[in-house]
Amino acid sequence: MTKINESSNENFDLNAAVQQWCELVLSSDSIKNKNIDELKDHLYCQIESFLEQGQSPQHAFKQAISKMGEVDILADEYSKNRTFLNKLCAFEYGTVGDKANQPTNVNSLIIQQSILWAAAMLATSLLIADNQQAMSVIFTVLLPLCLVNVISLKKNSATKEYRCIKNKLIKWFS
Amino acid sequence: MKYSKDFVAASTTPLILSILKLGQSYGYAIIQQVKEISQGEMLWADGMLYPILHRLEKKLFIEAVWGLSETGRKRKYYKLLPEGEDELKKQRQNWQQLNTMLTKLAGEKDD
Repeated sequence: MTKINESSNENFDLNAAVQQWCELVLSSDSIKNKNIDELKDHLYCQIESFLEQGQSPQHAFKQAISKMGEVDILADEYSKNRTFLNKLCAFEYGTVGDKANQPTNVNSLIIQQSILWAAAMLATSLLIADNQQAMSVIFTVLLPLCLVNVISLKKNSATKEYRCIKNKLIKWFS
Repeated sequence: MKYSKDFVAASTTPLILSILKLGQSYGYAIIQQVKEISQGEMLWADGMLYPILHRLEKKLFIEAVWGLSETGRKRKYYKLLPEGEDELKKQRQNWQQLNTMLTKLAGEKDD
């Protein structure tokens, strides 16, 4: 997770730190731009109350963001309001927040992807069974794609894997 | 006394609606008010309130209006809608019924 403004007390810029926090929150898919102003106002309210208690700006900021909760948990709460399609995408490719606890998700993703690929191969082979090139399509296109997919899943996070496959597909077909 | 997670979750909607019944308010103030009236017993995690407010807004129980704070910051105020008032009435009845039921059962045991 990105560290927020760890500079020393004297040159601590409260507004810049708040801005940085907002950007970190926005990098999660679940919290949209229209919601950030509300969270920002909340953060400033909390900081002001800590400042009134005589705390330093840096300390007030740190306490306020810790009261706000982990960005991942915050995003999770917001994600309960997402649409079905968003949830489906998050299930398939994971959200930014998932990166933190990636190892636990990879295995289930590999199983999901394997099932999808198996289904795709089966469907394709049924469709083009009569065609003479059926075997070569399966062995030169679908199988390598499937392998690349599963291998890259192990190496990278779910979103990266998706991007990798997409790039490969673009390269092959251009 | 510490409230269980389920209890806190179940009581958020009636509490939010009750607070907004007294007049429009915003996220931070609502959390502070709950903390005050519960004498510090009910502490809501800061981040959990906003998604709940957005859900109540979607159900048309409450309405959000952008305004400005005393210091000129953008602030989202919430106010109760007629549907929300009906929901509050219903929830109050439910909780009162539960209270009566629990009291009755406790009384029976004592006899």
